[in-house]
Amino acid sequence: MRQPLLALLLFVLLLGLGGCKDTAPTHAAALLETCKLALDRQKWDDAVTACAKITTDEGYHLTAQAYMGRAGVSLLDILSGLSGGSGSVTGLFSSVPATAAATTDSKKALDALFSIAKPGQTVYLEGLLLSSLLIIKELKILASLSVAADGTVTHCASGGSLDGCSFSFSLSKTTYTEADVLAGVIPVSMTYSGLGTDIYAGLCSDSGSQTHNTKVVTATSTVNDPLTGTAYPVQVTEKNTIAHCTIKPGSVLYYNKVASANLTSSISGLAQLNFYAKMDTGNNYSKTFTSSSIASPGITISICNADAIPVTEVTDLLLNDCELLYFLTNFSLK
Amino acid sequence: MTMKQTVCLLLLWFAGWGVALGGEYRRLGQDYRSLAMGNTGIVTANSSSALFYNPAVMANITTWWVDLPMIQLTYSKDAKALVDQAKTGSFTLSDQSSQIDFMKSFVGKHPYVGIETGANLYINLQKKGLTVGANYTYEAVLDLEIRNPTMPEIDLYSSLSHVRQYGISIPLGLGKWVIGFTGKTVERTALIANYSMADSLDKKAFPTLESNGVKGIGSGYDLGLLYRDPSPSHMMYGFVYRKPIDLGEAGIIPEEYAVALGLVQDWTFARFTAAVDWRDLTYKAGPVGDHSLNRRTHVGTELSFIPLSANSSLLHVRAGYNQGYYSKGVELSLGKVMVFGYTLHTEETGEYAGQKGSDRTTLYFSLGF
Repeated sequence: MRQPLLALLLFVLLLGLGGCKDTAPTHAAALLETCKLALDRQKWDDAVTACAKITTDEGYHLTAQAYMGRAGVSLLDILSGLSGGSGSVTGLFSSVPATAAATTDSKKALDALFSIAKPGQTVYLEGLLLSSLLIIKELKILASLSVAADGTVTHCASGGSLDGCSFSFSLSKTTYTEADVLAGVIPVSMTYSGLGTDIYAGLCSDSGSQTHNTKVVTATSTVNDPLTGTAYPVQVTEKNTIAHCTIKPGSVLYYNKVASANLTSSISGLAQLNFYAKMDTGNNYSKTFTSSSIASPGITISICNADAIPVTEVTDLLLNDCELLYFLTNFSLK
Repeated sequence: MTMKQTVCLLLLWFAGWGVALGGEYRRLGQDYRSLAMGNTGIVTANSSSALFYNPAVMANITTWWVDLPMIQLTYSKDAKALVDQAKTGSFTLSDQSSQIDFMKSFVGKHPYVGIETGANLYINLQKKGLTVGANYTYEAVLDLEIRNPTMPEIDLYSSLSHVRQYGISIPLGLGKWVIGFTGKTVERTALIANYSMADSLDKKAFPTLESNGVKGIGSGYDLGLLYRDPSPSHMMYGFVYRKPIDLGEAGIIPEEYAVALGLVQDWTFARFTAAVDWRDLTYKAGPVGDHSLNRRTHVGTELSFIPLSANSSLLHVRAGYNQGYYSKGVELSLGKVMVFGYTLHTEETGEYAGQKGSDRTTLYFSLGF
């Protein structure tokens, strides 16, 4: 009768030595838990792999968060900055993807978020923050965007002028004498080579450019014709290259538009992140050149105009340099 | 801890936060002895929780006692951090700032606290195994899990249960076969909720057991069977069926079929008990597809020293294997006059054995006669 006892003891021993654990998830809830557990432990590669196996709305949401984690994006820090009613978006800047890999992961996170069939407010909130990060990343490259300790945002055009930006305008000359007069006018050319297509590719997932060099704008110089006593006109020929895009579904700016339109949160500061509404305004950008050789009020040139590259409409999902330049010179997150 | 801090913790309890804390099998009346023995008890329970495991096993009780009161406290390792924070005196969670700070500092943690209290009565009427018993138990559970460092959220399970049950074990023939019956009524207020960082920023109110909890009441029964081999090794084989109890909005206590085998060896100054239980054989406790037998396997042993009666010894040392994790415990008892039990065990809170264990400590104290 010792046999049952020995058998039981052997069984206990075997369990103790061999372990009695499962080694892998076998059902949907276990897969989900595997994904959540990897997120909790901040094992981002594991989380991306595990969460991507779950093709439900919850799975897409968690996959997005796994990609965010791997990209170093901390919504916790961003939202902490927004708490307390301060509405500070300082946290956004420290979370902007710093590497190409982080940017790719952030975009994948955004794609995963907007794969959700029935998104809730949290999804829109995350989508707004994430799209804003990617937009700010593009603006940082374009306009040397930075934020001060007190949250003040500065960039190359924050003074209202583009003179500090790499994409500014230039006249071939601004000081005139009689020697500059040809056939009764002072011929000048204005060159603007545009913002380039990279920012549009980043914002819209689309880009293109147009060039025109026939538009002529006339102003008055301070150089007088000695025969008539009247001032010579200054004739400016524009040589503009303007980039543009169509805001494609699935692009960063499109996600920003969708998230902004659907988010009903009362969290302060979020309204500042509606970049789509701030960019696709249909506004034009005008540049005024002044100097002692040009009669007041100087030479004002509208970058887009009906004779060359027309201004796009408000919320038409089209974007070009004219709207972006207007946005930049009026940009604020306060 | 000051009174204010204690009140804060209690408010947290009744505030109840949390979501689909999915994984854990939440069973009523899991006691310190069984937990130390890998949560076995279908054929070996001989303490005041016998009715929670198998009514037929009351046949092994050959004396009588009353526990008044009985108190059992179970807490996870992370619950200590919760208490530590309460000790700072700034733990109110009543405003947005404190809620966010809590999520930041507790993300990845899983505080669990469970308290059982009540009274028990067991009376053996005939040595062959005719025994009656009753439990009058209150059980409170607060189970928080703060998840997802990317976008923190608090999953919460919180419940207050009141269990009234009575039972009888009836020997058949010479007592080798025993059948048992338990009738029970469960009243429960439960809250399963989720509170996220976004909710906090949106100034949404915390869900509370008082305002968001759902109540339910239901009745059910257990039928048990025990076969006791009269050989010197005292092999025992058991079976139990538990009828599901529908608590309405407060959930369902699932149906359960369980089998077990075990033995008791008596020596002059010591007693050895060993058991293996296989519970929830029809896979009703977990989600769809959860067919992990390892999660339903329980193995346990007990060495008892200096026997005081057929059912009690002065000192017990226990070890077991529960759902893929080791357990252990000790008990010091002066008959049923005073019992102190200490158990360390791990509860599976994931979805399969070994996925996500929650290390817990169970303390037990009872006075009786």
